[in-house]
Amino acid sequence: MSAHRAGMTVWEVVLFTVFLAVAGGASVFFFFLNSEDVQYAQRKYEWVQDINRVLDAICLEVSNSAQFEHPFNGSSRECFFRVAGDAGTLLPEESQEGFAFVDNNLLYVSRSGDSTSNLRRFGSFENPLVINCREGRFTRISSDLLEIRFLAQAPGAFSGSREFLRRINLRNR
Amino acid sequence: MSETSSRSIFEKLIYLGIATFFLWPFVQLWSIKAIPVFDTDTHLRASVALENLMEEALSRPYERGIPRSSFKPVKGCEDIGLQGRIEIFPHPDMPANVMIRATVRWGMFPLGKSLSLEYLRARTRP
Repeated sequence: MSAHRAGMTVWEVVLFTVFLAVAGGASVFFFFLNSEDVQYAQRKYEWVQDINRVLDAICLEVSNSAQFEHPFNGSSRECFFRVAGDAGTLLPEESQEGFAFVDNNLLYVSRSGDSTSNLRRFGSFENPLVINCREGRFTRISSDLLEIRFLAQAPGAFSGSREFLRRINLRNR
Repeated sequence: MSETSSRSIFEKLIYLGIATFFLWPFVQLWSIKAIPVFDTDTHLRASVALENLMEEALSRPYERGIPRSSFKPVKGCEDIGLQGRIEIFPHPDMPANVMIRATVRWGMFPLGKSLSLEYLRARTRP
C-alpha cells in the first residue's frame, strides 16, 4: 500500500476545517442571537402578540353580545352593544358597552342614558387597551359581519406602522 | 473493489434513502407547525388570517355544501404568499349538521405549511 508519511492526511485536514467552520458559524450565530436586532425583533413580536390577545378578547365579547347596536351600517370610530348577562337575561336598554378609538387610543367604554364613561377594566386588560393607534374604524360589512381595522405604531419605533384587521361574525346580530 | 475507490452511485442512493427515511417525519412535523421553536411573525399573521376567514365563512347564509373549493390568495398577506380556502360539507357522522373548514397555507412545496380551523354548525341556533 502507500508509504507511511508524517503529518496530517488530507481527510484529517478536511475534517478539521469542517469542525472549525461549524464552530465559527455557531459562535457568530450566538453573537447574533444576543444582538440588539434580535432583541428588538423579540420586543416587536411580543407587542404584536399583546395587541392580538386584546383583539381576541374584543372579538369574543362583540361576537357574543346580545344585541349589536351602533354601527348599524357604514363605519364609525366607536361601536356599542348590549352585553349578554350571566343569567341569559338582557340588561336594560339604556346601559350599553362598547369600544371607541379616542385620541389614538382604543378604549373600553360604557354608555348609559346620559353619559359615557371610560374608567373601567376590560377583562384582564387595563383601560387604554391599545395605545398609539391611528385610523381606527369599526365597519359593518353586512348585517352579521363587523370589521375592526387600525394602524398601530410600536412604542420606540420611529417609523413604520402595522395594520391590524379582524372580522367578527355577530352571532346574535 | 479496492479500498481506495469511492462509493458507487448505488450505495450513495441507499444512504440517501436511509437518511430520508429517518428525516421525513421531521419534515412532516414542520409542515403541520408542530415544532413551536419556529413560532414566528408569519405564523401569527397566518393564524389571524385564518380566524378572519372562518368568521367570514360563518357570516354567510346557511349553505349545505361547497365541497371542494380552490385556494385563493388572502388579501393583505400577498408578501408571504398566503392562500386560503373555505370548505362547507355535511358532517360525515351527523348528517343534520354542517362542517365548515377554513385552511390557510404558505411556503413552497417540501417545506410548505398549513393551518386549519373547523366549526360544526347546526341549522337551528341555540
